[in-house]
Amino acid sequence: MMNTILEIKDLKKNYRNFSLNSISFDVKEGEIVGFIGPNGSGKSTTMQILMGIREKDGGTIRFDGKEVFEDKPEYKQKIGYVGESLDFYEKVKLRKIYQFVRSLYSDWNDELFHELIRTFDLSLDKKNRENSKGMKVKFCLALALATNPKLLILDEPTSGLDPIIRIEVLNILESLSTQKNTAILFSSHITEDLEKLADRFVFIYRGKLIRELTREAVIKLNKPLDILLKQFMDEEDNADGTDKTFDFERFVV
Amino acid sequence: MEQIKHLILKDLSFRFKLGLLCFLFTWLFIFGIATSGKALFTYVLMLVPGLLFSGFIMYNCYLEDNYSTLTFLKSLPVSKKMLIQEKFLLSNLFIVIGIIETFIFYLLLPAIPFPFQLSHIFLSTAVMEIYFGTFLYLFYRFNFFASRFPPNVFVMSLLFLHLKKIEFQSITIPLPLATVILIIALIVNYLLMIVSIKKMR
Repeated sequence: MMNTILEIKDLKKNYRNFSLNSISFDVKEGEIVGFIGPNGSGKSTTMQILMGIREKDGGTIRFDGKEVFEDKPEYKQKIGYVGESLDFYEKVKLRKIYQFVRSLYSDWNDELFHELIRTFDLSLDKKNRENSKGMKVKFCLALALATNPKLLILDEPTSGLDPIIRIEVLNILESLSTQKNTAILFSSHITEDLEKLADRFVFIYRGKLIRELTREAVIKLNKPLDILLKQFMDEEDNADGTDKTFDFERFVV
Repeated sequence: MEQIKHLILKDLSFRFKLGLLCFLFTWLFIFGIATSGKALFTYVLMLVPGLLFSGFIMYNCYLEDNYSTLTFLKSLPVSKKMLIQEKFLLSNLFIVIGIIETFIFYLLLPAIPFPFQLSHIFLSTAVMEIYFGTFLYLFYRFNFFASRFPPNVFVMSLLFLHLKKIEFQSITIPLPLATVILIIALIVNYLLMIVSIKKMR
């Protein structure tokens, strides 16, 4: 039986126009969980709270059996993260960024890092701003994977990648999960990627977790993920009594 | 503490050439002032850490004044507290370097009268503590644009003193009063650090 590596319970975050509403789910060792939802549904916020980038307003997060606190960041030693915004330290060479990141991790795999840099055809002597979006994603993935993580949190990692590299990245993630038992929490608007990789799917909409389905359950439903998401969103809107249908006739003169 | 050390090394290395240039410039600056016959000891005591602060900390703050960079830093195994403590610690280190550097220079050139007065060291240190603390608070609470306010006020104040023909070292302050001023400045600097941690954007 697989152990739970990440457990989120009643996670809450309130903003003026949006709130995360009691999000609860878990991720087991070696499992790939697809985090699906439309833009602004709370995927990035949830992931950023997990990484201590944003503070939660309520709920608990347990990683590897221990409760996580923002002022005790040691738990992040075993979590690799690739965020949605990658325009950091634009005027600094990748080599310096890598040396700095390496110094912060106790279990850094330098051999793997350089192997990935070669595979991804990156140059450490380039400044971050000289790289395309795809190259930035690859650099961040190399950093995240070199930390020997127990959990990888990836916020839209395949967006901006060309199809060949995208497949390469997906294969790396798959082998990481099967060979090293690394758990992966993966959000993407490219639902094909999630369909290819994920063992389980967590659907989120308007800050609320609306469904959790295993791969087998999705296969049984025999519908693509984006259609399922739309169906679940409609069901949620109907339950709330909100009609989201766009009425074109109102604009006909 | 280990993580704070790596953050300090990051600040020193990300713009090493610019920082080194500022460091070399401090020596040129001390030499220029000391040989001008004015022996503006206290100004040197303030300007050496000021220059180092501009070269290393301000530039890194400028690099970090971006949503992605702050997000990236916060995603690493460091806390908000460590990120802010590191900048405050480094700025205090620059004050100590300023004092040591100035003393070394005066010891190397014994022909120049040594204008040593403990109260002046305390006073200039107090000014730098407030200056650095305010800059860092405004940076972490708001942004780099807002944090540029204290350097401007600082330069304008020095210019004002100069125009009024008031030389900083000619101000005689009894040592107990200078000590109290320094203690207050250290407390203010510490409080600014605490508030920065609590109110970080």
